[in-house]
This record gives sequence, structure tokens and C-alpha cells, in this order.
Amino acid sequence: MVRRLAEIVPTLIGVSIVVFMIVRMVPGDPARLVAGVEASEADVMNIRRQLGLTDSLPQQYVRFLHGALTGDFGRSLKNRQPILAIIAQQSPYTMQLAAASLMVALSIGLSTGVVAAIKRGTVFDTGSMVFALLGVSLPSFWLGLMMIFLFAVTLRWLPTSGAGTFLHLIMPAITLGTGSAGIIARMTRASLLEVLGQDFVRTAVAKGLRRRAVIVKHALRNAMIPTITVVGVQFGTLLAGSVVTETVFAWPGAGRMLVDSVAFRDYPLIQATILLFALIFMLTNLLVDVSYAFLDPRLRYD
Amino acid sequence: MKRVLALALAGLLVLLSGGPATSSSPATIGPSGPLLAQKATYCGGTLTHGQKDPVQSLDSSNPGGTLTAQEIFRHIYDGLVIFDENLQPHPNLAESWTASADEREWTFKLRRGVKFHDGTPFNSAAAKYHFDRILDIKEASSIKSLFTVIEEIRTPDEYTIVFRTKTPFGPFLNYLAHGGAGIVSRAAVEKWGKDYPVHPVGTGPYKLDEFVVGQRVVLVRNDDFWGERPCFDKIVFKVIPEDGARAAALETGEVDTMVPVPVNSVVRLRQRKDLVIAPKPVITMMYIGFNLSKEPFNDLKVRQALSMAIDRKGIVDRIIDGFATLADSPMAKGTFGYAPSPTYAYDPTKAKAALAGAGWKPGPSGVLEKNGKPLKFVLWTPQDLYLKDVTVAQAAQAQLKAVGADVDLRTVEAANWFTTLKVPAAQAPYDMFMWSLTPSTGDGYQQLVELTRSDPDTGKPPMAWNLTHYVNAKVDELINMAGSTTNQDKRKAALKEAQGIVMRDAPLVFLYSLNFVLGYKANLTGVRLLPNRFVDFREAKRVRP
Repeated sequence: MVRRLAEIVPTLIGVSIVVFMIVRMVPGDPARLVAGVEASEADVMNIRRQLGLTDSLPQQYVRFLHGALTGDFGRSLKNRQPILAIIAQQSPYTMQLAAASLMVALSIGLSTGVVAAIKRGTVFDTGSMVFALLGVSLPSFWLGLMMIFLFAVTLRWLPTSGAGTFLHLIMPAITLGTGSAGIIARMTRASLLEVLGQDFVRTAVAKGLRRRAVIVKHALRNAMIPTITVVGVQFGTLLAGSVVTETVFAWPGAGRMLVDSVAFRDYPLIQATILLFALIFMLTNLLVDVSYAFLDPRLRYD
Repeated sequence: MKRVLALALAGLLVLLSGGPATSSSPATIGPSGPLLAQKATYCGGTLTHGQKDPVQSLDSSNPGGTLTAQEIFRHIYDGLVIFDENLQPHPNLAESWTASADEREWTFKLRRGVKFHDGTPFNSAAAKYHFDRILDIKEASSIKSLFTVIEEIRTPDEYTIVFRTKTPFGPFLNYLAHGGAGIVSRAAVEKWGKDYPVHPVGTGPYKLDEFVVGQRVVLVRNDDFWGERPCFDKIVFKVIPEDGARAAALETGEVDTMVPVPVNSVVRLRQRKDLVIAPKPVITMMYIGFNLSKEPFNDLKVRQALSMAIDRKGIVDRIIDGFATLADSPMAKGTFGYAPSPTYAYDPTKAKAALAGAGWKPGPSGVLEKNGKPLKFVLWTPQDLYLKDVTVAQAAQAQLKAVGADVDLRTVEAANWFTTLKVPAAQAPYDMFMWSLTPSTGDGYQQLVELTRSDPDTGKPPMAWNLTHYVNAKVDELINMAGSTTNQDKRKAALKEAQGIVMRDAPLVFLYSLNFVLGYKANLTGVRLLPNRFVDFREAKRVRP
């Protein structure tokens, strides 16, 4: 466990180097963007110096790493605010949205998958899988806009966009969670079908256990491991997918901020946000690994 | 001055009588726009405006590249002068001014008894500080280039400020009306330092209540405002980046105003009796530029022929849904100095004949050739920077193909667009390019300087935006003349002549200027959209039902 945690550190350093290099390889000059379209070359040069962009790349990286280790990511090139403060303000919204859409994905995905598996070959099965396919394939901005027009403009049940109350969270969470729900449903169905055909399930049925108990206690628990793996990966997808959803619903999370900062070549903000996303992703997968042990006591981590 | 007094008097009369306010709704109100003039108005409550781009900084001298910041400046800050809805500068913190005989000194008499939101007094030292700060090399102000014409600032007494310019500078008042000239409180800048952009302090009718970066800016009424008491308790600028979602928010009433209404929602929203959907011409010009440093675009005949190959009206009708005005000048109507000139009308037959006259004959594959070289080039366009940019470029591509040119498209990420284009002439990678300019000061001098004045050193990137690398000594002379006198008639004459030559020389295809669609609740009056695209609530009020 401790070793797994310790592995995170070198991975993060690796991520930081890759991100650092990529943002600088992409053409585009933040100093020119800060200076504005009408600025003279001398002004741009002056701003470049102020922003520390005239230093050599290793110098810049060391400064970034030193800052990151001491918890000081510097200031945004765009609005000169401390990056930690910006992230502290926006990342709770991203986490809230990711968690809520994960709940949506899990509750819809698991129930659809289980129904499809136990009603295999029936109209329920086909219906569930069509739903799952739709969930995976619908573009989230289209789904989001359609929901806005149905639930906000026509029915007036929900606010169109923004954040603040639980009601604001509903449409973004459904929009973002639907794609993952489809994938989780298909995975649950497949692995549950596989488990249902195994000997221990037949034994459980044979010894007179009720069907419900067999499915919930025996089959589902064993079918969960591949599903949980998918959930771990999907959490990353949810973080990435939040970019579109946050834009459609004006959700003030880190995803939209990341897109804005890429457009502005706001190097320090891009670096810090990506590092944060990487950290969240790694911690999620650590959690997934830990849950394997919980689901299957034979697995142990030393 | 008289006009301001008259306005103030009219406002006072309205207040005293409680009677009907004169409507100042946009001139081009849509068919669904109800007649508001006869209804009584009232104040108070909150006005919510939906903005597309999140504002990053409320420091007027560093707006951070988004236009949306400038419309907030207009409510927090006052400049010495202020634009009306036709971009005419009017007295604001300066009550009157005079220009010296040599046309290089501008003396402004300042308004007395004005206080910043933090209680510090506004005076000549405060005004001087603002411009010193913009011009200070250490400040990295993004609007510095607008004010580098200032040579010296003097403050003979507490309520007099004198600007001496390097040359006589005709559009100086327009430049002072720019949002960036909204005067900041020195005490606040010194108190907040690097955090000033989120703690702005001006003298305007509203002051900052809350700034949540990326979400909203909330302003509250400044009860100590020097002018007429501001109407709303609060104004909320709310960020909704997606056009469709922002239009939906207007429909549900979550926002009271928004701009621009997406052109494909206009027909639907016009059905609504409770909304006013008002297209309003703005001074944003759209072009397709030629790279004159490359063959065959150095040939005037080729440029003229290709200009005639573009069906501008077809593009406006079918792609922009009619929300644009066909161009007859390098600048939009409403820009100072605008004068219409003859255009190269759409005529593919004439275009083909003109190309044949220039030596371009059909080759074996149908593509025109001259001296064995095909008429083949690349049209560059940004993606999602200008209204329907890629779609318009595709239409132009098809129309150019119809006269025998083999055109490829290259799309460039919006964030990268300006740096890709702004390179020395010899390295310019593009043949033709989509282009747009909005002169933020509303003055045609700014437009022509940026678009067509030749650069002294072609080994360097263009100083402004002469990306066509167009060189015409007569045009340069006329532009400089328009920039170096304060005689507005002389300036207009010089700008007019320059426009005629530029139109004839066709360094760009002059497409159209945009009409922005302002959408707002029908229970509002006095909501304005300035031609430089800033929305203005300074005189907005609610109408009694």
C-alpha cells in the first residue's frame, strides 16, 4: 500500500515533465497574448521577460518544480492571480460534477446491466443494450442542449446553466454520466453473464438459495471486478469529458478553465491543472485496486 | 457640453414629474419590439446580463484580451470622455476641453467633487497617475500602444490636466473614450498590487460587489455616484459560454439581456412577445486578404478578378442569415471617416474575362494557368474565431474554383491565428486569409493604420495588421495626414480619399460588416449596444407592466 502510494511521486514528476514540454512545444506565445494584438515587439519582449519566459527551459522547469514542491504554482499569466487560489476555487466544482455523474453512471449502468443479464434474450435485454449504445454514442453537447430545451426552456423544471443548488447539478451530471453509464451497463451485463454460467452459481441455485440472493450475493459480487476496473478508467473519462459539459452548462469547473488556459497558453495554469487531474486519476485507480481486495479477499497488497 | 446639460435637465424633469422617460432604445428595433416610449419606468432590482467569454481582469489598463471585460469597465470606471451610442465622445470626468493652436496640447477641465469608490478624491493627479501607469514600462499594459502618442502630461492645478502629444493627433478624444482610459484609483492599485485586477476601483455608477473568476461579476449601485442616481441595485454579468445555452437562459428569464443572439435562434426568439430581439450594426469588418508579397497577388488585375469572383451577398444571405451589411469601404459604416466607394460587384463571367486578360488561360485540368504555372493557392482561416469563419471560407473556396482557381483551405486553431500570420513578409505562409478588424476607438484612422499602412521594415513582422503587405505611398501619406491634424474636416477628406484608393487597389476582398443581435426582456428600456460591440446599461431602466 505504502509502495503504491510512493509510486505516485515519480509518475507525477514524469507527468510534469511531459506537460511542461508539450505546452511549450505547441506554437503560440503567451507574451503576445498578454500584450494584446496592438502591442509593439518591444512591449512583447518586455512582458516575456516579466513572465520569466526568457529563461532557459531547464531553468523554467526547475522553478516550476520547486514551486510545485513548496505548494506555490505561481500566478496565472492571464489574470495574475495565484494559481493555487484559482484551482482551490474551481476544482471542488469539477469534483462535485465528476462524483455526481459517477453516481448517475453507476446507478443507471449497474441496474441496466443487471436487468439485461438476468433477462437475457428478452426485449428488456435488447432495450437496455440499445440504451447503452445510445448513451455511449450521443455527443454530450447535443444531449446537454436537448435537455436544456426540454427541462429548462419548455418544462421550466430546472435552471438552464450555472452552479449553486442541487437543481443546477442534475442536467450536467446526467449529460456527463450517460456515456459512462452505457459502458458500465455493457460491462456489467457481459461479466454477470459469464459469472452466471459458472459452477458456484449453479451450486448456489442447487442448494436452494433464492434467485435474488444468488444474483446479489454471489454472482454480482464476483462480476464487479471488471466493472470496477472500468469505473476507474471512466472516472478519468469523466474528468476529461467535463470540458464539454462544463461549457454547455456554464459549470465553473477546472475543465472549462483548462480549455480557456490552453487557448491563452497560460503555461503555469495548464501545468498545475493537468498535474491535479493526473493526481486525481491516480488516486482513483489506487482506490479501485483497494476495492479489488475488498471484493475478492484472495487479492492482497503488501 | 450644452448637449450634456440638456440631457441632464431632461433627466431631472423626468425624475421630478415621474412621467414617461424618453426611450433611447436602439434605432433598429426588431419587428417584435414593442413601443416602449409611452410607458412609465422604474428603478431598483437586479439586471442580469449573459456573457460569452469569462472576464479575467477588471483592471482597465489590462483587460486581458476579452471584449467582455470592457463592457464591465463602462459601468465601474469613468474616462475623461465617454462614447455615446454612435461612438461620439462626450464630456464625462472632463467637463470641457480645448486644443492648443499647434494642435498638440489638449487641456481638460475636470469635474469637481467626484470620489472613487474607495472614497479617495478624483483630481488631475489621479488622472495623470492612470496614464502614467499605462505608459510605465514595468506595468506591461496591454493597451499601451493606444496612448504612446502622449509625450507629456502636466497638471497645472487640481482640476486641470494637459496632455501634450508627439504630433497633432486628431482622434485623441476617441482614444480617451476607450475602455482602457477608465481611470483607476491609485490608492486601490497600491493597496491590492497584483490583486488589483479582481479588486477594481473607479468612479463609475456601479462598484464591485463580487468577482468569481469564470462565473460572474456582480456590481452594486454606487450611491455616491456624481451623476444621475444609477438605476439598478445590482448588475450581474454572468458567464454562459455556449451560445445555445445563453439563448435558453434569455428565454427562461435567467438573464435579462444577452449579445450576440446566435443568428439561427433569431427567428424562434422573435416569436416571443416578452423579448426584444434587435439586430444592430457594429463596426466589425470582415475581409479575405491577399498576400501581396507573393505571386500572383502582386498583380492588381488578379486581385480585382478574384474580388469579383466572391458572391458576398450570397454568403451574407445563406451563411450569416442576413445579419451583415455588404461592405463598400475598408471600414464599416458608423466608423469615424467612413465614406463609401465603388466596389467590385460579383460577376463570375467578368472575373474569368479579367483573369484571361491578365494572361491566365485554362489548362488541361480546367485550372487556369499562366506560363505553365497553375492558379493554385491556399486560403487560410481560423476556426471559431470569426462568425462562421470556416463555412465562409469554404463558400469562398467554391466560388473561386468556379472561375478556375484551384484553392485549398488551411484551418488554424483560433488561439494560434494571430501569431501564425504576424510574421515578416518573406516568411508569410498564407496566400489568402480570412480577416476581421474592429477599431475599438471607433475612428477610421485606427482602422486604416492597422489594415493598410505600409511597414517601414519588411524584415520585421507588421507593426499592426498590414498582413497583406500592401504598400501605397499615397495611402500612407493620407493616413498620416488623418492622424496628424485635429481639423476633423481635413481628417475626413484624407480618410475618404485613402478609402477610395484602397478599394480600387483591392489588397483584400471587402466582405461585409456584422450586425450583432441584441436580445433583452421587453420590460427593459435603454439597453444599448455600442457599435464597438460593448453593451451599455448606464441609461437602462425597467418599464412598468
